[in-house]
Amino acid sequence: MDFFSEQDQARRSTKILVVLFSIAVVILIVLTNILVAITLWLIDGQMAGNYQAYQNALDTMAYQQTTGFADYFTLRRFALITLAVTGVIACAILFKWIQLSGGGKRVAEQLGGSRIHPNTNNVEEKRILNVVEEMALASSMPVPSVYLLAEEIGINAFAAGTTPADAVIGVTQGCLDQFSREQLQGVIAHEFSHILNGDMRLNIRLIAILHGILFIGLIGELLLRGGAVRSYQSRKSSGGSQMAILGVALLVIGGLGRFFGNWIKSAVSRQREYLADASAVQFTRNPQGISDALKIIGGYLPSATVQSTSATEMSHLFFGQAVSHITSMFATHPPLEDRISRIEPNWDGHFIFRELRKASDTGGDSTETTLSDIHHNPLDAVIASAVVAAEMMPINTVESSAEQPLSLNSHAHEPFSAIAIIFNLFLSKDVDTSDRQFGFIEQSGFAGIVRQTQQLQMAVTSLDSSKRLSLIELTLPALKCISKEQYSVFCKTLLLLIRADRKFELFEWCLYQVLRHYLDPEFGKTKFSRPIHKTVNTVEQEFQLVLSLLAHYGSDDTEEKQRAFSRGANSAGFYTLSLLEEKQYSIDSFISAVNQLANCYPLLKPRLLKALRDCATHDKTINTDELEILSAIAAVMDCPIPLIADLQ
Amino acid sequence: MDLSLIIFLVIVVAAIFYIVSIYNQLVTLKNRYQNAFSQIEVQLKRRYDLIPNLVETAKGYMNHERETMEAVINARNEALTGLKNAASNPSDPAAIQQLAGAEGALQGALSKFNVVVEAYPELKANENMMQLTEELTTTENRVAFSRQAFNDAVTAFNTYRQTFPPVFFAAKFGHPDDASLLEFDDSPQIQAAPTVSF
Repeated sequence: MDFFSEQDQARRSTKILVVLFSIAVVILIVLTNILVAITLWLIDGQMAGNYQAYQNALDTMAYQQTTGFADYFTLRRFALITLAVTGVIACAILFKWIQLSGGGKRVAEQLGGSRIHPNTNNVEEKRILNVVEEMALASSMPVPSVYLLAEEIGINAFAAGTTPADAVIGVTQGCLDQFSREQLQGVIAHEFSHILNGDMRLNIRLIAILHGILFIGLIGELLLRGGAVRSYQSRKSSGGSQMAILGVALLVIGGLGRFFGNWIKSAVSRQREYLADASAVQFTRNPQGISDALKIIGGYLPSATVQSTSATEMSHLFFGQAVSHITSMFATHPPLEDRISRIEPNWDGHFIFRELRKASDTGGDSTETTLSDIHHNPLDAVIASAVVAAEMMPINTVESSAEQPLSLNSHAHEPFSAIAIIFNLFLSKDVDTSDRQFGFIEQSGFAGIVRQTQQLQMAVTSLDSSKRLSLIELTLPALKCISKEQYSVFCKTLLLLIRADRKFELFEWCLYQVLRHYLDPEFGKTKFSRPIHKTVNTVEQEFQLVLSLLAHYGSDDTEEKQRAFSRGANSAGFYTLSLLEEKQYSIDSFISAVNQLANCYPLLKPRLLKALRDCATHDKTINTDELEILSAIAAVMDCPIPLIADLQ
Repeated sequence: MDLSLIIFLVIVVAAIFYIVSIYNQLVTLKNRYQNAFSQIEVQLKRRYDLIPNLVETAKGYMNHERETMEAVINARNEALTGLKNAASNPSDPAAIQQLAGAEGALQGALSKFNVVVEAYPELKANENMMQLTEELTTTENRVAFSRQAFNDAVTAFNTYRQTFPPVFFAAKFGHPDDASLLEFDDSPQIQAAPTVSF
């Protein structure tokens, strides 16, 4: 398969179809405008005319108009009507557009998907995550999050989201069970092509415009009903019958428009599938993977069906035909046979037959070759897979019964125990205080959190303090999986824990800032910083204070401190600053100084941070205190800290 | 104002916009392939980090294969130094050559290791080992895919640079030469079947 020329062809066809679609829409809108204008003309003329004319109008419609059509239609009037009609349709389109472009996450959840945890221990889930990352590399795109439709046994996958940044990829359980690694790669690469080529966006646009056309028909229906009722109530009221006629005409336009619009939309969707198939081959350079995947769908009884009720609306997003259509005219996907023979021109026309059960992880590949060798005899295939299934049974049970004791590492990968670990980091050694803190933890309302925290207490408190930061880093992916409400409760509880001893300790503050810095963006909270300070001179005092504190934590020796301080001050461009004594500042003044530094202009920040780093690394080593303070300052200043990796 | 003057101005402005867009497109494509190169580096590094874990896990099961494991570790260390040299000096062909050679040796050592692992069913069934194998597989794939993505990005850049009309402007905008595709010199290793010795 020459995938580049295939892609070009699919792109060209899409272009032609989209142009067709636009022409159809323009014609429809112009038609509607003309119809509305004619109706208004009729009504107006009839009000101006005498009763006789009105009577005639009811009888024949083709009565003598008091003013001619051409006179009535000044450019101005027509422009006004056009504006009004087009405006109404545009509003309908905009409404649908906003409704649809809610981001991939929402679509995936609507379809019944749940996010696959980035640190999952399940080998199959790990495999799909790895495959997604591989394909992200191959297509040079950001890695999307992955959702699993655990209830679906049909083999399918989808991509949702309008931009690469908010895109997600979803797979059904059937897909995980039936596909080998290479086939998964093909399927995922296909989905990546949908994201890369902006198919979601294109589709949402088409749907929104179709909705606008549907809206024309809807207005027609309203007018028809309203007109009929009015003319029934009072035959003398003006315009009733004309309105009804306009209604019928609009209904016809809406209906026709919808028919052709849907037809073109499905054709576009089919072209995009060919494009995605061709791109999948480009990304994997392995046509076998995706063509085998399609063959398996063809030979699998539930096929690609997705049961979720939202599937109809989203059918264009999927890898295979998720919802069956009676005619191929409106199918969102080309027939499997066509897709396979485009990828594999020498295909012999046989599907790969699969049974409705889990394929083995280890023996998957060998099973597959046996099955494809004998696929022309379905009975043999059934027997063969039954044998495989019988062999598989005991292995599965052994796997599930083998449970290993969990270490702190694996606890950090579970959202619930990750919360407990973080709580533990803030627990006081003082018995009274920690009692009060446990009270706060209980109030947080996470079920069983107190027990979990107590269980992990030993492991966390015995941890070397230098490991604190890396432990926090380890828990971050898990913490990102909690819900927004849980997160705000979590933050509140942390603040309560910090204040429980009625003291504000530097390290509590540091850890808290680091946590917030990494987690806030995930929960849609952005920090507002007002750039106030343009030059370093306006923050001289604040910088002096922060640098002094850092120097004091860096060493015990007075001369060392002095040297570290002047090193940092020099690298920031202050040559006259002197080291502050420890009693000249408090923790509170330090915190407000850091907050002031955060108000610097963005270009100043790296310079200040570099100066602080120079101070900390003056003695060629960086201790835990320095590292935590630096990370926290960088977090508050909302600057990345590339230095940490270099330092350790 | 004269109508023809207006039309002339509009055409000039449109032309300027077009030329600016060509410039931007060239820069975008160039950055894209440069980023793709750094991805290769990241993935190679990732693999070197994984290998000690793999060997550590295998150690408990296969004491008699010390030689194979040492070969893997040595090849890994060699490749890591090669990568460091190449990363600090990407334009030096000798450094790339050294990396490519070390990579090939590591590839050979690893495939030998994998053949040996086949002989230890309980090692293969070990959950840690399964996860590590999966990790190693994905990393191998990533290395391959990031190389491929780099070459795709370079091709896109070169194609755009050579098409009309960008071909007129490319040299003036500071892109006089085509970017070169990355070809590791590992074809002998690919052609050689892995040797099995017990």
